[in-house]
Amino acid sequence: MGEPLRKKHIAFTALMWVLAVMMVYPFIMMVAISFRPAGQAYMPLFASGIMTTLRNYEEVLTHPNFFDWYRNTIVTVAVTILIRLVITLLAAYSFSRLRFRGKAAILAFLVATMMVPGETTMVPRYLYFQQIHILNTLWSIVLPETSEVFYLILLTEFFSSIPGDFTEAASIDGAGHGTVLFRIFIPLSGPAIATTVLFSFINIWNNFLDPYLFINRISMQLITPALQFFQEQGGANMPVQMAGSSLALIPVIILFIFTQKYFVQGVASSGIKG
Amino acid sequence: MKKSGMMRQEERMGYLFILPFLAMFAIFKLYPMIYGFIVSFWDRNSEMKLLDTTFVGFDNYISVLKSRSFWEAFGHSIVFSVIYIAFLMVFGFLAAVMLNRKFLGRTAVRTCFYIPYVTNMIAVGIVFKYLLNPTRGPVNAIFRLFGASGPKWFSSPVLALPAAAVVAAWAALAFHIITCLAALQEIPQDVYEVADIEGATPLQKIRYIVLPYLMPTLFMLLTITLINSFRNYTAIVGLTGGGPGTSSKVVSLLIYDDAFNFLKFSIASAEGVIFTVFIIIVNRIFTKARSVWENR
Repeated sequence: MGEPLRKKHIAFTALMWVLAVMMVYPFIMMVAISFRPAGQAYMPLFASGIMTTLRNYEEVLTHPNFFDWYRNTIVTVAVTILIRLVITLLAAYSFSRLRFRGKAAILAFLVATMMVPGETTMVPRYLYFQQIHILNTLWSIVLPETSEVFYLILLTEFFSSIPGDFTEAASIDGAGHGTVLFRIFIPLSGPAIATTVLFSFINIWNNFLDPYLFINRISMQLITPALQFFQEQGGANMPVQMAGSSLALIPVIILFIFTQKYFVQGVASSGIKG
Repeated sequence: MKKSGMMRQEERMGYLFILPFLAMFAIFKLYPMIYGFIVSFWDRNSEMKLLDTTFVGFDNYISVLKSRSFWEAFGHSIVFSVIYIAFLMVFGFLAAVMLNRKFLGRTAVRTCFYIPYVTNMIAVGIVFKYLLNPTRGPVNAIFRLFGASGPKWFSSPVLALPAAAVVAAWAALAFHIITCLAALQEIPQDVYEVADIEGATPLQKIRYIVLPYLMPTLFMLLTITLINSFRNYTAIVGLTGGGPGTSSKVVSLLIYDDAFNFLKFSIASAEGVIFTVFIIIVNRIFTKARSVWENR
């Protein structure tokens, strides 16, 4: 590399690092302020005389409902992922490997419904869930989430990419479709299943609209809408809000950093194929 | 005879395997969509009328289409979407091109670019309301260094909506970057080598190599982003709450308010149906444009 080119490359590297810091700067501030006393919330990041305190975390953690929100969120995430995986894996196997009449039309219809945002159907969903008595229960979040077309497409695409020889050998041996799915397809689908679990975790953890709409008992609430509640209740105390936000975000960010590979694979595969 | 028996068996299994998914979908996703359509033709515009309701035909639609607040929110939704889509398409592509080059610590830098994507807009909202606080926030402190007072951001009737759209787009950037990066890796290396031999500048390379190769991906991203730009309830609630006044109140907030604050469930359902139809039409236009472009 020539001298001017080298300098250019160093400048470029520096620029990328500055941009990277800017991308995470809001979260650095969030964590930094969560350890400050209320009076110092608006002082610069490296100002002198900043004191450190755990009071804000104490206030969040001693909120009578904080552990309810965490527990509700974890239960919702776990139950949704379990049901979602079972019914979506079955359907994906069928759509990718079995021939039946109306298959293409059903799939096309399901994909078309992805266009309708949950925002425009919130009223009928609320009225209907009221009629079937699942408002104010975690079922109002779990049950609608189990049949997400996005994950059906993701797993169907993945199953379609598994070579046919695998299944042919198995059916010659007289294995039924259930056996083929559970003994061959699922063990081969580790990465796709990991992507599904990771995406589901992040999406359900961050879900705001549905729990905000369908749950109005504070002890039944999930962590993200609870943050909004905390904000309205906590008033002006910025550091407490930041401590709450950190506790809501940190698990997801840590999970993401360790499982980034599956995340990138998932986005890339869902993206490229459209 | 045997073969057709096997076919029938395969078909039975095919339906059996999709049944749980389709049943859940029909009960919890499809039926509410149809139900919204039904509700919009009845009068459920007060708490009493929830049980004792009458069929009113298109009355709800007529009053929605005549109301000023609907068209105001509709306009806000479009402004939000246009800014959101433009920001993501431009900066998603540029960031991907830059992150595709090799440099020290590229993996860590990429991770930093992806992190906002996994965070929720309520927490992001808390942080950005702090950062963009007009009088005490660190962003306007920079403005004050240069003697300016700095904009009012989320408290400004003019800036609140665009600022919310940009923050929402910033948080969604990773999807565009990852998708574009995957597409960039499909470009054969020798195309670049030829360009180097011909002495092409970086800008020329982007214009004549990268953009043509990425066009299908960018079109696909545009369609996805278009749909995602209407899923903006959480972003607006987290960042501006629709304010100041109604200056950033988008259709999703209007639907929420009309239903759950004013109990006009049928009006709100009609607004939902009208907006869904609008989304479907816009999406059809984009799909059409894409196929025209691909067959040109």
